[in-house]
Amino acid sequence: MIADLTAFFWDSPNAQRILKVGIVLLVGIPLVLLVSRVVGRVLRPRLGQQGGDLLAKIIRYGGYLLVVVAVLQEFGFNLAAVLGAAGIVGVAVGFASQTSLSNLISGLFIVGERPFEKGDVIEVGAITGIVEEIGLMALTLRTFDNRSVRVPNEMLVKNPVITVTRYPIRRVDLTIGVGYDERIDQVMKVLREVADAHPAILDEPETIIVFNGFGESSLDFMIGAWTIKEDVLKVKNELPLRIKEAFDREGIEIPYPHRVLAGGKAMEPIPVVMRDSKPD
Amino acid sequence: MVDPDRWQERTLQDGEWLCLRFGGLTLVVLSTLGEWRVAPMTGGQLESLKESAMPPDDLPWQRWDRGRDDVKLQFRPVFPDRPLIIRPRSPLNLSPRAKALFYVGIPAFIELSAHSEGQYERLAAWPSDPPSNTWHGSPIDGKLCYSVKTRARRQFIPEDWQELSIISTIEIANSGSHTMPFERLFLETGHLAVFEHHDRLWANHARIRTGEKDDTLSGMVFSGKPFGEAAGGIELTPPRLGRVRRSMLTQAFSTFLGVTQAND
Repeated sequence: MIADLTAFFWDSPNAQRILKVGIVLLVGIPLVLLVSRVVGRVLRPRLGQQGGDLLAKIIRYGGYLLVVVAVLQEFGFNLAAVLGAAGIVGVAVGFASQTSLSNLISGLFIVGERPFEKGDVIEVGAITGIVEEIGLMALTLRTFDNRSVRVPNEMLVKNPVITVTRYPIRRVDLTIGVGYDERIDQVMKVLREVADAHPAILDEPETIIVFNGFGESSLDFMIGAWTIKEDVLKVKNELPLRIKEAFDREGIEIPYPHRVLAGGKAMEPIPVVMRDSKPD
Repeated sequence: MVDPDRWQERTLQDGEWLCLRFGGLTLVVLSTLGEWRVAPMTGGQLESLKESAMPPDDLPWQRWDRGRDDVKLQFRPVFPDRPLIIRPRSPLNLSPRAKALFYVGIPAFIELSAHSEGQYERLAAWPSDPPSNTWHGSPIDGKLCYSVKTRARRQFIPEDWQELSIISTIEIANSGSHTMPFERLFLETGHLAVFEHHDRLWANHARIRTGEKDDTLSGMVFSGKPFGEAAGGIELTPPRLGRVRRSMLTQAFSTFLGVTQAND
C-alpha cells in the first residue's frame, strides 16, 4: 500500500506540487506570523503600541503576499508576465489611487514621528476626540459625544494637529470683566484667593493673573490656572463658579455690556455771551 | 480636645456606629448589613450627629463588604500618599558648611483599617486637613505632589502645631562653598514612620546633605527614631515603603536649590 502511494507520488508531478505548496503554506504562514510578532514586539517600545502593531501588520501582509507568489509559482504562473501586466496595471492604478498611497505614506510618517498615542485626545480642524486606532490609511477618533470619525492620514500630515493630552499639566485660561468702579488690586487679590483655595489648582506653576486692559464695558482680567490634565474639565467648570461666588461676596460687579451716552465738550451747547451794545 | 484612645483598636458590632474627629476631618463609621460604611466629612456637623441614635442615610457614605465575624477596626495617622513640596513662608539662606535643623508640620492623613477574615485590611485614608496640589518638575514632565507651607521653625514650640500635624525634623547641611537658599524641598515620605509622643505625632529624624550644584552627591539619611526628647515616642505607623537608612534624592536637590519653572 505504502509502496503504491510512493510510486504514485513520484510518478505524479501534481502530487509533488501539492506537497510543495503544502510545505510552503505550513512553513510560510507561521514564519510570517512569527516574524511580524517579533518585529512588532521589538519596535513597540520605540514606536508605541499602535506604531509597532502597524508595522507588524505591514510585515504580515507583505509576508502573505510572498507566500501567495511562491504558491502561484508552483502552479506554473509566469510571474514575469504577471509582474509586467501588473506594472502596466500598476501605473493605471497608481494614478487612480494617489490619495490612498499618500494616506499610506503619511501613516508611516505618523508612526515614525509619534505625535500622539492611542488614547490621546487630539484636535484636527474642527474635530476633537480620543485616538482609537492609528491605521494604515486613516486614524479613527471617538468624539466626546461618542461618534466615530475616520480622519485620512494625509489630513493629519497636512494640517496642524493639537495633542491635548500630551503633557501632564495644562493651564486653564479664563477672561473676566469687572465694573469700572472696582479697584484693580482688590479684584486681583480676590482672584488669587479663589485660585489658592481650589484644591485642583496647582500651587506651582503659579496661577497667573493679568490685567488685560480697559474693555468697552469692563476692566478685563485674565486668570490662567494650572492643573493636571485629568482635572481640566473640573477646573473649567468650577473656576468661573467660584469666581462669581467670590465676586458676589465681595460686592464686585460683573457688568453687562453697556454703553453710556454722555455729553462731552463737543456736545456742550454753543456758548452765547451777552454783552452790552457799544454806545454809538 | 485630644481623644487619647483615638488610635486604639475598636469593635463595632452589626448596627453600631461611631463618630470621631481628627482635626478638621470627621469620620462616621457604621457597621450594618455585612458592610462597613464610612462617611468622611469636613466641618462642624459632629455635635448634631452625636445626639442621633443612628447616622442619617444621606451622609456621603463609602461602603466596604465585611465578613460576618469581622468587627474590629482601627485608625492610624499616615503620611500623605504623594511626595511633598515643603516651602518655608520666609526662605532661609544657608551659609557654606552650615547646618540647620527645621521643624516642619505635615498634615496627617487618617487611615482606616478593618478586619477582613481576621486580618487588618486598609480601607482608605482621608486628609485631616485637605492639602493643595502642586507640581514638581517642568510642564512637560514632573510629578504631582502635595504642597506644604511651613514656618520651618528652628525650635520646637508645642503650641505652634496643629493637633494632627506630623512634626518632622529635617537637618540640612550645606557642605558646598556657596550660600544655599532653602526655598522649597521635595520630600518623599515613603521611608518616614509616624510616632506618638505626649499626644503629638512625630516622624523619624531625617538629615539631608547637599554639596555643590552637582546633585549626585546629595543624599538623605533617616534615623530610626524622632529627634530629641521625642525619641522615646511609640511607633504608630511604619514607613509605607519600608525602613531604610539612606536614600539618594537627586530630585530633591534640584528643587531644593531653587530651580523654578516659568509659567509658559
